[in-house]
Amino acid sequence: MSTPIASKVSALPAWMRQGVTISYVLLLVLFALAALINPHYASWANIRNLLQIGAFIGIIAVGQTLVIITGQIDLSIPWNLTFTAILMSTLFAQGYSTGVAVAAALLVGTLVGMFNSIGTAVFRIHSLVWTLGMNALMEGVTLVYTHAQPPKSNIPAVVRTLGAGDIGGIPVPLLVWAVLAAAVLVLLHKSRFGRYLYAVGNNESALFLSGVDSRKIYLGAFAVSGFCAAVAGILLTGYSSQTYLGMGNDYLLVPVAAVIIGGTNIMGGSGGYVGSISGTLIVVLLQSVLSTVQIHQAGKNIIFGVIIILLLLLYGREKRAAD
Amino acid sequence: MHASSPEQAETAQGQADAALEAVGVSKHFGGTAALSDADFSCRGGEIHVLLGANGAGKSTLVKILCGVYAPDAGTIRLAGREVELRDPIRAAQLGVSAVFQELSLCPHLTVAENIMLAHEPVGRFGQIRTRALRHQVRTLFERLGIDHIRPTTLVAHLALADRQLVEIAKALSHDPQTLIVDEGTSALGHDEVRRLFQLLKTLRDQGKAIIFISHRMAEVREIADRLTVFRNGTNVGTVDAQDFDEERFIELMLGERVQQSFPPRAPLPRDAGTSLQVERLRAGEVLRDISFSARAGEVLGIAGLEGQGQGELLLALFGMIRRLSGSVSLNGRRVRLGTPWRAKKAGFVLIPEDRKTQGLLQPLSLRENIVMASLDGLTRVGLISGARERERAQHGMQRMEIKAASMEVAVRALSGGNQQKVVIAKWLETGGEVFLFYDPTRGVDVGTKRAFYELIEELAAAGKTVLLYTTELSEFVGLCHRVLVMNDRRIVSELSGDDITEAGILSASIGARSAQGGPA
Amino acid sequence: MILERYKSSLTAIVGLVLLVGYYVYRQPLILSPFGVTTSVNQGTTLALATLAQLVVVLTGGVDLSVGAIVALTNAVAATYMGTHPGSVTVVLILTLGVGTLAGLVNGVVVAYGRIQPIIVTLATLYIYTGCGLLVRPQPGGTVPDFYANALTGSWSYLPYALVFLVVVLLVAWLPLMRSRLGRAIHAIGDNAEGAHVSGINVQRSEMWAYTAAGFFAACAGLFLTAQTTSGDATVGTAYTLNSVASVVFGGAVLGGGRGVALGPVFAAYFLSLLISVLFASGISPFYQNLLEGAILVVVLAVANLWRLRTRNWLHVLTG
Repeated sequence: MSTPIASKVSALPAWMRQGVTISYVLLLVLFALAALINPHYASWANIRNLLQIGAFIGIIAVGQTLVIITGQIDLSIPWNLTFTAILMSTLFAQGYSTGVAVAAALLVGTLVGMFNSIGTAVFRIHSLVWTLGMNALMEGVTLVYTHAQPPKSNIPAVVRTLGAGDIGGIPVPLLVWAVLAAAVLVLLHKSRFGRYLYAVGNNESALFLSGVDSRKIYLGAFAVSGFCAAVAGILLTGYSSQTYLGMGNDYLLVPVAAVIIGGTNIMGGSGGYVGSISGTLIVVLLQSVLSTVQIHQAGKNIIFGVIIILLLLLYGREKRAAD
Repeated sequence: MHASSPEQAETAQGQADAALEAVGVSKHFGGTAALSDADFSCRGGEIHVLLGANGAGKSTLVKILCGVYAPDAGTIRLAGREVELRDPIRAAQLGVSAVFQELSLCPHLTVAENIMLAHEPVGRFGQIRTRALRHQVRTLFERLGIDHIRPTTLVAHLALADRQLVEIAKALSHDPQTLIVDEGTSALGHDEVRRLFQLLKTLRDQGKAIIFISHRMAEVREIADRLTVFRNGTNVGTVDAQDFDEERFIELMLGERVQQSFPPRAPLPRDAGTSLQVERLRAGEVLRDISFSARAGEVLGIAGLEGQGQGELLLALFGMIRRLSGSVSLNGRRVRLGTPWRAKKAGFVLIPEDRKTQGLLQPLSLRENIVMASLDGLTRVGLISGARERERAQHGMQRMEIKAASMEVAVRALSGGNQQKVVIAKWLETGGEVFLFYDPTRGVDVGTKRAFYELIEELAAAGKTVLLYTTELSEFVGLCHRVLVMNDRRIVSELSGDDITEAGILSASIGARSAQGGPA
Repeated sequence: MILERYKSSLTAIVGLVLLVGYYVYRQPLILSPFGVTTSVNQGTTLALATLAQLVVVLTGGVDLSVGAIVALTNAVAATYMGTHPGSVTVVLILTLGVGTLAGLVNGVVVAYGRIQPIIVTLATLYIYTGCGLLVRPQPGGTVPDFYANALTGSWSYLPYALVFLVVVLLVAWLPLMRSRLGRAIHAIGDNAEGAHVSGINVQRSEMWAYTAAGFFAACAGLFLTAQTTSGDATVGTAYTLNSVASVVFGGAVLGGGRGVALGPVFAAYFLSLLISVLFASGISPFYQNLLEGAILVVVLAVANLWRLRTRNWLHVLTG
């Protein structure tokens, strides 16, 4: 097959760079529009609120971005999140220290993530199906653990601060998000693991044949995703001062949408967290704007879906075999 | 097959004018021109060979001629009439059909379903008439003399050579006037190639036009009536077969003079120690009791008929085969088997079968690809040192003389030859001791082949151990100090020095088949 | 009939047989006409939704909006059906049309917009759920008894649901799969580049595949309407996820190109009956969810255990 000799082509696919930029432009445009409609929107109080809500999605998106870059997807977030949160509050209510309760939650979340990776790395089952199964499993585990009774509302003070408090005027979830975001940015762009992550998403065989254990890469990505789910669960608990069975419902597809809107390719191999940040904020902004404009649930759904498609038409297009 | 009748000879004469013509055809992909103002013409009753280096435009031209691509400019004429070949089925209806290098078969459909794909016989309600379909395929097989392939077998269960035959049958199912064969022999063994050529000659005698693309000079010499050379997207010359001059052709293809012969082989130093020791290597049905040794600076060939385990042996040494028993030692130290990272650590290097898809990450940059196998040495606390990475990439580029605007260029933008070099550069940076070459020159043009030969000799001269599995017999003769011949997943013969001849290897490959039981 | 192709359905068939066997052992009453009918009714919606998912999976894609289309068509049917046989018939056709149209939209965006199916259908999931909510903001609607009985009733041991399923299979599924389009759908999922080079219009075939999926999802919606005698725009999620599980459990491959309807349909009934079986075997309701999820995970793992035995890493990696 002929391989045309090309002039200089940048290593980053042009459309991907475009995607991230476009998403930030869109974010600003959206925000400006919202502020025009309602000047109150541009107030610090409101922005702060949006960022705080965005933090939960953003934190989950940290792990989800890693997983999607490898070409997989993590649909076990909702019940992983819920279970670890309930585990934490239950342990605390039973008398364990805050530290132990939180550590247990984080550990379990990470373990669930690692178990997720087994589906992909060992059994070669598409993560779509496997993580859905894990989600169902974790739902079952949660129900058994709580005997289908409403979980305790006994929340450690530290957690309450983490979820609802602020340091120097900045909501703590936002700070946690910032820390995780910084860490993942370094991970993706400067670390060996990050390099391998992109390689796995691009061409796992080639990486394997270069003498790198691609299974460990999946393990790491899913473990982080599980960890982030647990973190989000803990923060959410603090934010709402309680744990409840439906905690995770909103976090199945929304973080995925955030990552995709941010320009990361669902098939893996390209993209990054910079885009996921703007994707998260766009999602939060959209939801908020649609609420204030008082469109009922139906309209919100439709507009959300339409916008995703429009954005994808703009920068999510694939070169197909037919080309 | 059938002898030429007087009627057929007359038809052939009448079609001596161009059966298929391309005039001024251009085609761009992105910013690059695959074809610029290319002309080509082919007559009925001839086998016309297309030559050219990888990337010269042959495959693009051929894809335009059979309707897969539409040209950006230029015209196509069939028997003098200008036509528009909108898609492959339209082209087939007009009498042009092609057999491709990358198989177009669907592995999980049956042979019959594949052959009739997109032109199945249908009934009143658009339902496929299965019996008619199978009948058509059976008739086709009879005509082509194929009797060992059952139409109801899934293509996934066929050997590569049989798949190529099905591919050819598929092209012929349209009963084309013009048949194009793009590298159709790469997977075939000697017997099958012979049968194919017989078939092509018969079709030619019936007055059909055949366009044939190949990199194997021996085949080209045997089958061509006329030859055309392409370079950089244009036609640089057409000659009759009697004016065939191999060196002249290679010069035309590459635009420069290149030696066709092999580089001088450094003799093995008398005191060269044993570097690689393999004992009783076994993996179920995949490998049966392999034992051999190799020395530092030696080029050891692994020969045999297709599919006798040669590739699997190399894969096994590189840790790509699990549940392997036996022992492998490198320079006296036992190597842990079963995973490529352990093999790499021990000092093994595998240059894979398909460099472009198995050896490179196409969208990633030159720099990232060169360091991909040696990142551990550039990493501290998990973070990559940017400066040292660039240094290593630079080193790799220089060592292999890779021509690119910068190290940030994506590998997929490089020429085929350069891409092959990147794969080598990547592995040279790991400081390997044993280099395993898995059929490195299949489908590779003359210039790149030469570069591979020189590389192998250099590695040997530097004291590395080289294991070479190739399907080109001449390479064993030209490059190897010793040759191990495999049959039925075992080593059945060993040739060294002057005993390494093409005939000798062939007879050792075949002869051992009749012997019962292998060596101890 | 190429027997090779049906091998992959074996797990699901054996699974269902064993499950039914155990069910009968635990709850002999299930062998009554009523028991059989109830059991079949439980799984038919999912079976039809699975057909929808299967068409798309064969092309190498996945349709996350299947459940939403089921819910949407359910909402439309329950809202407009009325009580008159005439209006019922009209609405029947309307509902099928709505589902098919939804599928067509999916198909156009995936095939011609050239966006990955998983994302497109994720977006249309929201859109169709929203449309369903527009039609039916609150669960409700009127469904005439004769309609419900026609689909969920039975004649002695023969449930009408089974008849409905078989009719759909005979009138829609088989003709589709036996046509050139059906062959093209398989080819695209198996080797898209090869299919293209062979002369198949990949985009058009892909588009029709998603359209067909919409049609089957609408059939599922129609049955659901008969089963619940009401419309609810939010029931979709479970059907999407379970349809994917059924397809995989039934032997089709998410990469495309492989799969027949037999396995996934059996798998759909298996998944649907699981809850009832768990209940009948006296397991506390609290553990049912857990077992459901665990069984799904275990079955997936077991079905792929053979991969651990594959000798050549390359074969493992490229599936």
